Amino acid sequence: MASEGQGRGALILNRVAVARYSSLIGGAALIVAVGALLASGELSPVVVISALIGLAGLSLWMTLAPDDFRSTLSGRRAVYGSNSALIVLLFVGIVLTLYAIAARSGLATDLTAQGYYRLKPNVRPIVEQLSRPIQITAFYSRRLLTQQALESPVLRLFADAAPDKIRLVYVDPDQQPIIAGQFGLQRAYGIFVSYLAADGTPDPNFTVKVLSARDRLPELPAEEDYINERWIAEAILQLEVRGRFNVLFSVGNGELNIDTEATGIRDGLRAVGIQVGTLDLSRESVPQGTTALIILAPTRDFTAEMADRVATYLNSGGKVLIMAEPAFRSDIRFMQAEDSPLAAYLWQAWGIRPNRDIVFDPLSFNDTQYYVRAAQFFEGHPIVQKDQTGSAARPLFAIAQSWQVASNPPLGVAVQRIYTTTEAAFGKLDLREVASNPDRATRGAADLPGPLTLMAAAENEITGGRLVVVGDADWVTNDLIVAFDGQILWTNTVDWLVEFLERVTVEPVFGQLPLSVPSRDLELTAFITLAVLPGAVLLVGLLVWWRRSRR
Amino acid sequence: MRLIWIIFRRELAQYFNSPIAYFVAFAVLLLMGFTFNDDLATRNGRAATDAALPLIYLAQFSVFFVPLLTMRLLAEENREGTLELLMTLPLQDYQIVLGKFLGAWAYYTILISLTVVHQALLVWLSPPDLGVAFAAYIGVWLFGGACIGVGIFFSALNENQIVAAFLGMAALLILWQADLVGNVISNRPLAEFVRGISFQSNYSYSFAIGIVRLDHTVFFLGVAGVLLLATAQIVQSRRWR
Repeated sequence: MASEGQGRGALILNRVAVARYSSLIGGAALIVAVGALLASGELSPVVVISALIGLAGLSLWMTLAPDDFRSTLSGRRAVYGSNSALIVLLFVGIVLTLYAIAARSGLATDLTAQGYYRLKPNVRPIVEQLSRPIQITAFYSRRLLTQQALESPVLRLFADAAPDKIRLVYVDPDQQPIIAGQFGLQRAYGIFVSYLAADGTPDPNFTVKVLSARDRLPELPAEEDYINERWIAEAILQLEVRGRFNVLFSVGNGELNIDTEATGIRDGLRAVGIQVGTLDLSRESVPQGTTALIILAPTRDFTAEMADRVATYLNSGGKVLIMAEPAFRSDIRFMQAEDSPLAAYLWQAWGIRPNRDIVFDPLSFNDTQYYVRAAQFFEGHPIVQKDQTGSAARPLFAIAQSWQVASNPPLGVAVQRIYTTTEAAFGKLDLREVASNPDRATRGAADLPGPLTLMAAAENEITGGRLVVVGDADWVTNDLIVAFDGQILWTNTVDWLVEFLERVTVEPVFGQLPLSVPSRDLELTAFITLAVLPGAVLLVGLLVWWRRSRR
Repeated sequence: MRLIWIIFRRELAQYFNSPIAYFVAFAVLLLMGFTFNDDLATRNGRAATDAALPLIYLAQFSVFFVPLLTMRLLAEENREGTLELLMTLPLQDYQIVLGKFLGAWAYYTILISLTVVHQALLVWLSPPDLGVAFAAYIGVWLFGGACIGVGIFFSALNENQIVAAFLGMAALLILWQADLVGNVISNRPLAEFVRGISFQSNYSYSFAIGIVRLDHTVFFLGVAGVLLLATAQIVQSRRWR
């Protein structure tokens, strides 16, 4: 392009000078046009105008000073300069090729002592034994490129471990909102694992979201959200167990209807891949392959034949959840009779039976004191775990009965009181008295003393059977499930009952312990790093300076 | 090779015969000391130590102090006319550039080796993951080589050392901050490309977390190589300008 100006004195504007200035302006405008095109990715007005100015400037140069244009392109400097530029460009091309090959190879060495960037021994079999190819779809918006870079080594662990079975795809939810919508993603960030449909696209019916840190601790700020290897592995496991868990709800005895009154719990089970169905015990036995049977507040009592079917299932290692309402209405007869076959079986085989009372807790402080907020819980039991901080769920039971737990349960059976009332609570056995004075109960001599068991869990260590009993069912209805930790209790109960988490949880790897040192150690560290080390270097520098100044 | 070795020794000796290099090292170590102790005080009782952290800070400081080390390499020779003298010797241009580069890199290596003191203190306080420290050292060393490449390139372009240092710092700062380009550029492929050439993204998300990745290693060596070649071409251009 144009060489230096004509002179050092006054500005002389002749034809050649105008041509050279035009070339400079034109060149600059073309650079702006290319930059704007790359940045915006479209032919914006800035791009078009800059390009036009650029072309006009260069055209003016060629028109006004054709000799100058020719000599610039074919002169000695141009020849040598373009040779140099070509050599550098060639080398840049070689480096870029090497870089691309290296990036594609994915060659990396994990030097961490814990092997953070190697698949853990308990995760590798999950990946290697995948039943079908899967896709990990990682959504990161443009603003989360840094987070993408941080998490890509973890995501690549999976794709690199089984490249023929796991495909890793990054998607920008802002640029591809339709794809994000197919995954139900509302945020700028989310990781999903899916089986592939016949056409090679992720199957929306077989997709599991990797629960991120924010999904587990909702108060975590969005910018601190993250995922880890363990949570991805758990999501893959959840995908793999889809369809393998089959939970049946008993019907035909006045139970709560899961298609109208308790749709929330039905949908919650389906959301984690558990198949849901119904079973009329008066007509058929519990089928093979049933993961759990849920008896949701029947009004009519089970016949001996039905109780036998439940017993057969439990004795063969089955899992049963029973929610039994107290007889606060005259139509509720489930396990209320002294000779109830199911109640008799539960006591004989599991050491649990309903007390047939209505619990009254004066310390519950709710609208009515028949609404009992669980006061005490079995610490550390998976059913009560609220979140990763270790706090417990505290459910509310709206009109509940309590359970008697045998002090010496049958051989091989371990029974635990999961939730109990306060010591001030009592169980009214005279239900007619409660009905006549529903707003205020007074403790009678015959009433059961607190603390009373509201929920119990038992496990037969010989057969592997599990049983959970709850003295209320209102807490799982659509109106109440969202309140008072109801959702957490429901999820935890089903998880424990069907051993869901035990089968889909990957053991965590524990990291380094926090730094914990006395302040004098920190002071010594500060002295060494702030005074001794820099001071020594400074001293040598001063010595060098002093010696040089003496020469 | 022997000629490169002679230039290399001359350059390295110049660093140690001049108080400036010591003052730069003093400033860097002092700054590192402040950040290191502040980090320890913050973590005490709350979080585990991170062996890579002092080196991440060192990488950040490199953006500012490396151009101070490289600014005189060719600019001074240019200004004083000694480059012409060098070019009359039986030396190839690339040998001059490579010798000077290696001299600066050797000084940088000595400087980062002083931070072993920080690692020793960490081991004494609460042993960190030394694998992460080792990877971070490899990374910061390669990172330094690329920074020196940028610095020597601008030193060749200018006779004025201050201008060379300023341009070097500006370029390195852009290359460091390019990691955040996603917040600025709406064209995602371009944003990813720019991020790909960011020094921070090639260091902080691999070496600094304990992974030595081949592509990031090629990146730093490639940047240094390209800039050294470009610098050699600039030096050579004096023969035909």
